[in-house]
Amino acid sequence: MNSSTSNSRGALIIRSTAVFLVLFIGYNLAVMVAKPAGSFLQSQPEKNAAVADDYILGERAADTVIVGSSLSARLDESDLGPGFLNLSFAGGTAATGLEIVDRLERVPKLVLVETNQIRNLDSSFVDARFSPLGRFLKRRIPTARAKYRPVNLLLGALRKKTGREDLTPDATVFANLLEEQRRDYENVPDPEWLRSSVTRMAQQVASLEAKGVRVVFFVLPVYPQLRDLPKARDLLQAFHTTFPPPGNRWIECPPGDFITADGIHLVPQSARLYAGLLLAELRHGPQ
Amino acid sequence: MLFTSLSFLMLLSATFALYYLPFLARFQVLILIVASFVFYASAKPWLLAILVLSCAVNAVSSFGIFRSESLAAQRGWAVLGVAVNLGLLVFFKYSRLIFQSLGGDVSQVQGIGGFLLTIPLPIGISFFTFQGISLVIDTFRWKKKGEPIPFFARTFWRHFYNTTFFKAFFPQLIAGPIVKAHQFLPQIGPKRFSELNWEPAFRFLVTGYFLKMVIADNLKDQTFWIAPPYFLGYSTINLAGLLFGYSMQIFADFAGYSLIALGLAEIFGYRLPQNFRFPYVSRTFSEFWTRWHISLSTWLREYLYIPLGGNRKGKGRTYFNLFTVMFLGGLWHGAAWSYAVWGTFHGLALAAERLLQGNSQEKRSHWALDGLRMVFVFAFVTLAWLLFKLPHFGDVIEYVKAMGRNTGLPLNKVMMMLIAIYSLPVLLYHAHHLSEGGALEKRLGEWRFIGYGVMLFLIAVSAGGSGEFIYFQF
Repeated sequence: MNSSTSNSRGALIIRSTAVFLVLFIGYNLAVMVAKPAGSFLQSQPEKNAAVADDYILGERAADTVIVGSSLSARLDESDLGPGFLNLSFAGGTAATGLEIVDRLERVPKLVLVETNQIRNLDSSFVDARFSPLGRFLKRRIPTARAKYRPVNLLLGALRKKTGREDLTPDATVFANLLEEQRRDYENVPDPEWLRSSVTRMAQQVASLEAKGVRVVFFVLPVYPQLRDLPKARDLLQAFHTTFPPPGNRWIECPPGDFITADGIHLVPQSARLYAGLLLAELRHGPQ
Repeated sequence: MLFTSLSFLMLLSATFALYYLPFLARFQVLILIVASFVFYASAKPWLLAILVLSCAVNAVSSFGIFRSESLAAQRGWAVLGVAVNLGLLVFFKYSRLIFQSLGGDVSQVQGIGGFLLTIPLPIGISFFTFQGISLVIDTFRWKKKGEPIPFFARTFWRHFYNTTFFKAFFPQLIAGPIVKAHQFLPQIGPKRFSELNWEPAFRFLVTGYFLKMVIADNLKDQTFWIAPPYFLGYSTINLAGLLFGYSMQIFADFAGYSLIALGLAEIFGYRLPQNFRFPYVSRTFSEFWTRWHISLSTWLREYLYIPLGGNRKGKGRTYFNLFTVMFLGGLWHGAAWSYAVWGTFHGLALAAERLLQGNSQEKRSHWALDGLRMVFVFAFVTLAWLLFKLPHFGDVIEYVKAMGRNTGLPLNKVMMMLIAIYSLPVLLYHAHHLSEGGALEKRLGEWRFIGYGVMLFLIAVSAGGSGEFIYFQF
């Protein structure tokens, strides 16, 4: 009696494992054969990981790499051209992108560094991307990559025909969000922390320049009222002090009517407009 | 150390291998204590001192009760044990809240006072303190009855050893289930590999990891937008969807953790109590609290509500007791008044429900009425979770205002779709309960291996970014 019960109990585990193996192997084989494009990534952390993985695994080469925060993550590569790759991370900072570019042997010709935000380098994120086991699995097993997750492929297929939405934010919502940003921008960054963060970036920039990479700094437009508040002012000053022009190439905040969703993040049509200006500056400005 | 981390899997594998080695059989409990200490100390080693201190306090006070002959001495030890337990909890968890509530500004306090007020909360202290109190009170109750205590070791050092194991056992150390002394201590004894219950362990672990890694960790990335100021920009339907998603997430997160704890305990030969029984099918608030975080609600009933008089001292006293228990139960969750308000909401709901039901024993049951009741209880519970997600009242009020105001904003359909996709398994899990015992369940029972296989597949290919368990903060 006991033995038969034990056998039937073991059967559940064996059968479940068999179902798992069939699904896992079958799905991975199907993805390998079909090579589906147009995955939709569900969240910011997932997007950050996927962008970094694509670049690190060499699936996406580029002459120009943009590094920055969620502000520059709004710049669409299709508005910039085939030679561009946007390695900006929402919730992150340019230092994380610089670290990834610096750790790889192959380097781009040009790196564009966003100077609107500064946060600590996310070492655990970078280490996870460069883990040998992780890279090994991601190269061989499609489902080790976020973009091949079943839900992401399903959503990607559903959204294939949907273009980008050009939305103008609701006035009341915008006022509330702007007020939140204003409070944040009123904060004076800790000078010591700011100095050490920019110094760390200077080391990364020096390392890239030693490899022959040209580095250009740029400032994205934010809502005019925010530009002179302590956070924006101190940050830009720290960058200008550490990377002074004209020895370092700067693309300063352009004049013009840029619309943001919350005071700092450009809406798609403004991001497109800024991308055009950035391209023009790179083509026609001083080399 | 998270149950979902690689370091935990390595610790678990090493512990499991050593635990069942025949020549180490007499050290099984010691192996689990050492593993539990490594587990607990992995993030902040100094926290181990608090855990050991708590174990020592409970071992000494309960042994004091055990050895005392007079009722007065037994009571003295019991009061001392409970007071020191509560003192530790209040000191580490609530001193900052009390100080601030009295008008103090923590940032202005210098020296040792400032240091003491900013000590980080020792993880799991709310859980292991309640387990310690249960040991002291269980011992006192058994001793008072004058009967031999079946779960008590005869020597102090053996008792200290068992107490440390009972409190520190890693599957339930950080976030429960809150195990009572009389449930756990009698189970301590030699365990054999051949007697291991593989199937329940497998079921608990697969379901638990699925709920945590696939459901909670993916919903977490959507409900992130409940945080201020982001929620201000979402439409009314999105805000309602986010709340619904958070309700699903918190269930999947905590029930998932509890199931993993049950499965882990099972593979070492220990059985922990069920912590969840399909809470979102509850038709009344009192039923909800027999299905949600059962180990906490039974603890509160056994060690607080009944000692306060329960429902034996008249209507007024019953309402007061319900209210007090829920207020304190809310505050147990976190050192912020919003948790107390959350508990109070539930206390008021329970009191109102009791008032409306009166003494009527009549059970009117109709599927449509039951369905409406379920929806009502679920909606109330879900709205109240907002106090968990947004500990500042101002943010809660803004969120509710935004729900009323943002009717004209465009709908974020992808967000709604993702919430629906990841909530579906939780709904099916509850629907499965409703079909329990029926013909459909019997027919499906033969095919449940497919369900476990699919869950394993989704754990492998659809796990979200690893996040801390929500209840770790308590």
